[in-house]
Amino acid sequence: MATVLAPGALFAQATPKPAVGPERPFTPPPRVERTLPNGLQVVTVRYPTVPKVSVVLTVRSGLAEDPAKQAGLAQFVVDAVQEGTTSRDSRKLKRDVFAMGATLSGFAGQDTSTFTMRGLADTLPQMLDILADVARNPTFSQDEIDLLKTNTKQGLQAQLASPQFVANRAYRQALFGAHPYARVGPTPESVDAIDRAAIAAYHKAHYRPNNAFVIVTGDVTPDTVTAAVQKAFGSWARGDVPPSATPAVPELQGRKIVFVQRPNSVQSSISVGNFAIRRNDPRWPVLQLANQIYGAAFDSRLVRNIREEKGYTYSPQSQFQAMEQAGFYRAVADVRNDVTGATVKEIYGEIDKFRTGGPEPDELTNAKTYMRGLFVIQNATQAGLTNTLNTMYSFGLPKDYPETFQKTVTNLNGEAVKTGAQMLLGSEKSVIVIVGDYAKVKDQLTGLGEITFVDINGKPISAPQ
Amino acid sequence: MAQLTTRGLIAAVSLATAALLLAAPAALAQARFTVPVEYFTLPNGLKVVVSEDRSAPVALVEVMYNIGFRIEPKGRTGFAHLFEHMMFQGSSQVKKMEHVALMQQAGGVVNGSTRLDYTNYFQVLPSNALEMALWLEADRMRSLDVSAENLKNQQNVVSEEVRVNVLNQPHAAFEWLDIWQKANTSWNNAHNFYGDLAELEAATLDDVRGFFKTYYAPNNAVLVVVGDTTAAEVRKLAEKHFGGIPSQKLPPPPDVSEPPQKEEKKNSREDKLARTPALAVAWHLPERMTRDFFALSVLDPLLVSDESARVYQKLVRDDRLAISVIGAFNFLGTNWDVKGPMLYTMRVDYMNDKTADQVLASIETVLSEVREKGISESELAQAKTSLRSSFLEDLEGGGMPRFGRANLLAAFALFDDDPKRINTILDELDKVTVEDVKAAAGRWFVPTNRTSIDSRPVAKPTAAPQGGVR
Repeated sequence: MATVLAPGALFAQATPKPAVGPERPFTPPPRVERTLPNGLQVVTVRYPTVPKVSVVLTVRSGLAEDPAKQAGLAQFVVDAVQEGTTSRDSRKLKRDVFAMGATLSGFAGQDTSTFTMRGLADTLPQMLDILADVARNPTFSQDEIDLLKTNTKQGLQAQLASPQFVANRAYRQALFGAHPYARVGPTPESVDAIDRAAIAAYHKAHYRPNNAFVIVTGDVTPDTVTAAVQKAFGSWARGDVPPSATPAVPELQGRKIVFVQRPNSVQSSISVGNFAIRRNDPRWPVLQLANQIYGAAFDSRLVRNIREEKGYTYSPQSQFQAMEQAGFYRAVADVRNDVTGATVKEIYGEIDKFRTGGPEPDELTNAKTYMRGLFVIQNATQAGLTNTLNTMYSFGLPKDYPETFQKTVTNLNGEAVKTGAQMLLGSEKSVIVIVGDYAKVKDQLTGLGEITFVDINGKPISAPQ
Repeated sequence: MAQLTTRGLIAAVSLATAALLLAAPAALAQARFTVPVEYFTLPNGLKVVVSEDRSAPVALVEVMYNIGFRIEPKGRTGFAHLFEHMMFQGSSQVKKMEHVALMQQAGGVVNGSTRLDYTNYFQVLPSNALEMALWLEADRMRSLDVSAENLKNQQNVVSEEVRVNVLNQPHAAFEWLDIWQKANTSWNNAHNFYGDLAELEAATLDDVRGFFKTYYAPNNAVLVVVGDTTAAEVRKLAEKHFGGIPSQKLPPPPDVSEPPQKEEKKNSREDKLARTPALAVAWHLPERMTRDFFALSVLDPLLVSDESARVYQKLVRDDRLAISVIGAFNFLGTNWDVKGPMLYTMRVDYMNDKTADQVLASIETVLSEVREKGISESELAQAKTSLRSSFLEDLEGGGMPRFGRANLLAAFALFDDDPKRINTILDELDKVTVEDVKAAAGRWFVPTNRTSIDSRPVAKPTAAPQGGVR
């Protein structure tokens, strides 16, 4: 069976490092676009990797449009439409989805609300029937709304125990202030303020075919899909959708530091960041490239520093999120208590170095290859391609975005990336949010600047002792 | 072809003709989607599996080693996972983290994971970089080369991983860590898989080198490639880069069996970080690939897969005890990639003013109904459809494109010496009958086989919402 060779022979058979061949061309399969008479946009892609299909229905309204006192209303509507229609009560609805081997979920983002289904390709008509039923005919029974409210409040309590949830919410609050993008979902107070009337009114105003689009990707053909979508959604009536306001994003003055007190924390959850550009800004690819080099890729400046050299953290993240009205940058790291101050210093150290010096030539070349490769990887599955298209249609990206993305990346130069880094990574004007146990880390935070203290609910408190 | 009873076949045909389906046709009525599988073994014992897929110019390259945290050394809890980290810290021709850098520079994404019975290393990349991926995997299989400094660094990183995923989280991942320690009695199955921080810190460079020599041999591993390539190309490259790696004498596999549990075990813990209560419950599962194992695999989606499932409906909707239920044969993978004893586990996040006993009683009501009355033929068919749909999901994606398929092929090769089982496993599930399900539930989903942990916050929550009124 196994032979044991003399130790000297162990490395004797090493082979030399090979070359990497030329990149192979990739364009996602073609899309067919149609618009139904009622205004519903339908996009179909035949992508028969497996005999399944992805179906997405996106309504062009999200959390940013919620009235301030009813934060999370958009998510409530997403949840409530799935709990009963005029022909299916909640249980039957869930059973019908399960029975055909499908899944259905909904998510309200800042600017859009998306329902996603995955299922077997030959059940597409049934999938569309359920999706249309949920979008068009919800009953919003009082019982279901009451249960949703109770469970949402319990769920919020559970989430408040997670340092990542608290950090994300506190960071958005600190950055966006009174702007709607500060809200990540409901609060116990807003849940109390949401009632059936508000849910029904929201649905009536926003869930309209002329305010939505459908994407179908999978083992399907465009003609069959268009016919099936027409059958399920064709009689959905248009409506006048209230225009959404676009409030201005606040100015950052200097560095703002917020400490969220979380007793018994064995790590500090650190966020550092600032505003960036909107998603449909043509400079998005260059900021994305800068982000990869700085900290988004596994082999990146920030990760090499605070994880692979210093061992401060397992989980550094470099997030660049761009939405309809605004975008932001956020560096995240969960670090052991005794390196809290040191980590903030390293984050800014790497920011300042990159802003001043820009990328090295090799770094630039490698990062471009990485982004081109990521594009193929992200679009190598039905669900992945659907996600790309959902982004494209949600933010009104150019018609040939998938076909030209890789070339756009190739054409980015070092100066542009340096400018992009300066736009992406704030230094003097930025926000720092730390979630942790103040008594355990306070000595490390002297010299950072003035600190505002809040509890995990975001309510101001005095400095914990 | 799956064998169905005549009754099942008639049911399948009549359901298939229904205009608007409320229950999907039995899986038998569908054409079976299969994937190409080529399988060969190098002279040094390395198993190689290739599944060609030209739908996109990507390849998934995975090496799965036949060693996981179940049999890591005593006194060194968490070592197998720490070792996984060390595999990225250098080999004879590759510097610390250079594996990641080289893959990234070719457009690829790298990761690895440590599980009960294996450790896997994988990357998805544009297919033009296939040889580079194979060379990198071969170099570290042949010649791991790490320093004390790198070990210290990764001990720090892993400690932070344990902190961020466990020690700084409410309930401390009790549904896959603590519950294993409570439900099992043999050390292999009942120790802290993530590792006690002190034991992680105590690991030495000699430990790392010894572990590598013992377990990281070609005859203890399988190489899988899925994607835009040919079996001939992979064979050529595998022979070139892996062929010269000598096989090692492997230690005899230890006995990891678990004695049967005879009595219910109930536990509770207080959690300083939690704000709401949660319950973890587990039942010992039958041996992999036995008739009862297949029967419970089919029952599983009907119990916990989504909001239609019985346990969710009972706990959340009927009894208003909880807000969520998750459950699985394996939170860290699939039904097929665990070799030794397994636990069927649920985690319930329940309401502040309810009790663990109430939750347990409701779950037991659901299970006793299955034991006494079984499930219906249409539910059986729906469960099989659900399993088929999930399986297809894994064949295409699975977290990373093509990873689900690669990992299934690796497990079937390593544990069963039969990667083509990926194309027949659904047929084996199709054979399950309602009687099988009822009988298996009667043997395994019983209170004497059950372990639970009630995890409660230390402080009383300030505003406790009431459970819904019926």
